[in-house]
Amino acid sequence: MIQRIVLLALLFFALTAADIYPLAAQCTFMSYKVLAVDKIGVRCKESVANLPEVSDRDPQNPKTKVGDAIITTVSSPYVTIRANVRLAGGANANWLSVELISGNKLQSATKYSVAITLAPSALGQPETSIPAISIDTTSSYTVNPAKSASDPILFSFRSATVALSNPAGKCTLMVTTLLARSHQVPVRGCVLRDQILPDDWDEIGIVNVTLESSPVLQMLPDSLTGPIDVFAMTPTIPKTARMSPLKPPASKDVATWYFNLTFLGASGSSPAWTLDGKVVPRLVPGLYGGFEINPFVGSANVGQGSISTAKYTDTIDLGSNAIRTFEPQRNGIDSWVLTPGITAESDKEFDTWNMLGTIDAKFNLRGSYNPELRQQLESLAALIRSDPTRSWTINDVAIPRFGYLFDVHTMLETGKKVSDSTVQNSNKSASLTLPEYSILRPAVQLHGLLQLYRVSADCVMTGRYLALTEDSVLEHKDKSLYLYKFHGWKAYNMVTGAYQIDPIGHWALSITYNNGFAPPKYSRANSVQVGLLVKY
Amino acid sequence: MSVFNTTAAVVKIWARLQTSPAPDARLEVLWSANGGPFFPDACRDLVKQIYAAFPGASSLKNDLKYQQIKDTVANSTGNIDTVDDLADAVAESLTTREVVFLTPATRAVALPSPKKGAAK
Repeated sequence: MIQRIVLLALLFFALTAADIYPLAAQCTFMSYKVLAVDKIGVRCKESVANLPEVSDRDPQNPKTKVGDAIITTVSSPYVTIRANVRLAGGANANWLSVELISGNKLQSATKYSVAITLAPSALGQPETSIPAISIDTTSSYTVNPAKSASDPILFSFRSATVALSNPAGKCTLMVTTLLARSHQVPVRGCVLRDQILPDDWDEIGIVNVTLESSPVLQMLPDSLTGPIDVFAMTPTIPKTARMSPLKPPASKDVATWYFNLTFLGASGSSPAWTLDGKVVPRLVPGLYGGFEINPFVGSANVGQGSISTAKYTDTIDLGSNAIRTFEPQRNGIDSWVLTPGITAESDKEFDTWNMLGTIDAKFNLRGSYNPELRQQLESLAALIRSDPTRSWTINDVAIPRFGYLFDVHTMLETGKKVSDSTVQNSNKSASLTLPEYSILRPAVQLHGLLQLYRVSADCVMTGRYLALTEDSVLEHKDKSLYLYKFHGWKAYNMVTGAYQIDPIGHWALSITYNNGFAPPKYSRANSVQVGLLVKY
Repeated sequence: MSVFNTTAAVVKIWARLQTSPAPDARLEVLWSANGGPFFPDACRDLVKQIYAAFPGASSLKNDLKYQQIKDTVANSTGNIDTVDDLADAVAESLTTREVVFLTPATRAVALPSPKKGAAK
């Protein structure tokens, strides 16, 4: 009975104390690093540079501090060490420095618990405590490929817990692969980041290892000798570490090579196919004046088919362009993207070549970009703001039922057809001369997307005004060739309906309807394509 | 300023935030309150601003590309997801290519002083 009363009293006291002295989020612990045998760095989620400082009352060492810490070993023999908590200072606004009282040292390969109490934020306020931090002075590496993904020969070996030095100035990497047991891999460079960026505690304990060549097979790193930790030990590498070749991007926007092959079918006809492809090798790194430079851009929408009303646009574009994003956030425009370029426009038979200078300006109008995913992310951001200490994910937010986006392109295509050319029919039994002509096409493209839960409809309407008459040779069913003249408005419309199989939209069933006239041939496209869309 | 603080300052301006972003804040989430697509349009603008914050660091232009920034749907294989990831990629570029590929004299010119930083 007495025990129950005592427990209830303790519970009441704990609840009351928590209510009176709530723990302020002065430092939400993120990570730690053992910087020296008598110093630990604690990284906080928030900036701690403005924490109030008090004197540590040590006449021998009159410094200021922001709190105290008690460091205890978590297993026998139990040892307790007192420490001062100071601001890291300099550039390290998110770091606290836990400095052991003089004469005390941490031991290697030992687990500690660190309890930090911060000084009151103002006179009369209580001290605040950070939940006890578990620290392990065993040094081991995690191995990650470079985030600068263009460099598949670079890997970061990260001793998350213990600072490193490299007295010998070189390192040796031993790996195991599927084909060979533990062997040395040629290393071009081995750099401790904090040697290049000193006074930056984020960079402490990280070694950039640059290989001589990109790994072809997955490698299991066995050891990295050379760098040593503050206890003069070589960090170990866990058996789960891997050094893998880079994964290629899967998105059409990012891919260097993109091919989408679609088959068409109808009763009583032979199979037909279309190819929607794009090739954009990343030849120029970086941005110049904010412009991304693409010296070679190739795209194709071609195919082969015998269904009389189902056709592809038969367009092949080769050229180069530059792309820049502007974020004005005024005059009703959130952002716009300018894409000047030059294009050689042809068809599958390569019997027509139009040389064009092009300008494309895409405008995102205010309030017109509101797809379901953006709404979800905005709700997620609100949740994170409401409780930053909790780990929120997109799964904590319900999928909105309705979303939309709308953007407008204005385009100008101008140039001329390159000399007279001869066009042959498909069985090479007849030919016709296609004369030279000039080209001036202002154009408007409207793009809209409507989403209703997992169903979406994406519509792209392009209206070109052919200010100058353009010629095209088209083949009739009887294989005869006719010269057609095109002038005025020519529209091309593509509507894609999709049903997302999974919530994020990696998998979708799609149906695409094409209708209209596209340069340079202006043959009527009128087709329906059904497919499975996979995006990863 | 440290690489992280400079990067966080750039992200704060880019995403029009009231306060400095947390290290584990996702770039895509930070951008969501703004108009226009995150990828590729806003990502291209973010990388442009990162280049401007580290003047003289030619390694960034060679290594850091907007195509590496992760978008849940449009670029799900991107490996830069959070503010910390972005700062890490910047630090990685600053500390490798210059050192491995440049002479010490060139390196001194190319690398920004970590104390001065360059964020406006």
